Amino acid sequence: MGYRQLLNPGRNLVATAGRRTTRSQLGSGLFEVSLTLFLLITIAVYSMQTTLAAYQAQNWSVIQTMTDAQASIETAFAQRWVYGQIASSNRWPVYPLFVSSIVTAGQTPYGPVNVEVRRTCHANTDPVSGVQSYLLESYVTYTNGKRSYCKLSKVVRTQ
Amino acid sequence: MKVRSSEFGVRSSRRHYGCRLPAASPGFPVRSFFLSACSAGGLYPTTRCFRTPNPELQTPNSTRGTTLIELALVLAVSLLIASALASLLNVHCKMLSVTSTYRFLSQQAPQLGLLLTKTMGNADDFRIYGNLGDAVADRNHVLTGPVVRLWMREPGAAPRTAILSFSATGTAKGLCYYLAGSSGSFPASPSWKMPSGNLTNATFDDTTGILLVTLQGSNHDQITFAAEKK
Repeated sequence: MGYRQLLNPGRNLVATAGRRTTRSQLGSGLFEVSLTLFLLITIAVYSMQTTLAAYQAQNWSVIQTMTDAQASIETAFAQRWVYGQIASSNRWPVYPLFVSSIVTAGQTPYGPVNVEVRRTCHANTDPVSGVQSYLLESYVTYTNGKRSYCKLSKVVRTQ
Repeated sequence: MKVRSSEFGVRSSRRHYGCRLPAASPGFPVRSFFLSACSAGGLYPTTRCFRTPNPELQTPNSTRGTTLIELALVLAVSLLIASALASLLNVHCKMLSVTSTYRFLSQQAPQLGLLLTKTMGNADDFRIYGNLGDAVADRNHVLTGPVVRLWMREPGAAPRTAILSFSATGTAKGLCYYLAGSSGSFPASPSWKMPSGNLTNATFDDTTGILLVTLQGSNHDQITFAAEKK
């Protein structure tokens, strides 16, 4: 404390009133700022988790759409394939044989999405009428890390 | 011995060095006798004995450093957590950006695919054209193009026809559906428009023997649908 303040106590009272306020605010400032920013971080973390969950659900939706589209393409091929060439084309070998191929089901902004397609068929001849029929199956499999998701396209073709 | 008192702000009972008054007790009317007491023989100036809530007078030099430490701590913690928040915000913005780039594939393409496959699946025959005029006139059909004409069998003798056309510009921007009337003529404006959204191109393809439509989004994303027979 300087001698000017000692000699002028009235001025000193006025000046120290403001300092008391500042010091008391700073005394609790650490706690208040920490609490406020802790709450902010908590909200940010929850928001982040929500965004991540939405992103994962969206990615799941995209993959579902693409595998559905690929399965519909397999169904369309099975429906329109010339019946007399089903066996000779070897596109659907008779079970337990099968063929496997990697096809591009679509393209995301960050690259193509490749899926595996396995095709097989079950041949059957009706013992009474002798009519031959095929059950054409296509398995569309998408692998994401250690998880694999499969969709099945089944079409029955009858002679 | 320093004791923080929130009521009076008194930090030391020994700070009344030369004052002949006894130490204050809570509730003691200090201000009322302060002047007379000090003027009655205090060794130190009156401000030393002032025991009303005056922090400047009751705060020694060693205590003033606490304020600096508090300020530094507050600033350090603020900077630390603000940097963490900034990094979180940055990651959050990146995730939002990634999410928005997938909007076409996740929200718009499934609806368009469902509409297209249902519409094309109802057709008994189809042809692909390079433009809408050729489709209306049924000429210059190709294997790959933005316009497809569909023939749907009716109970009567004549089939009903419709045109699915994609245009990137003009009033018929997007995927439009033109349904021919009973006379076989097509309307000048689309019968209805499909919700195109971020669709930038649609290509019908018949090179594989089945009718495929490839939809392309604004972020180099694309997906292909096929028409299944019902």
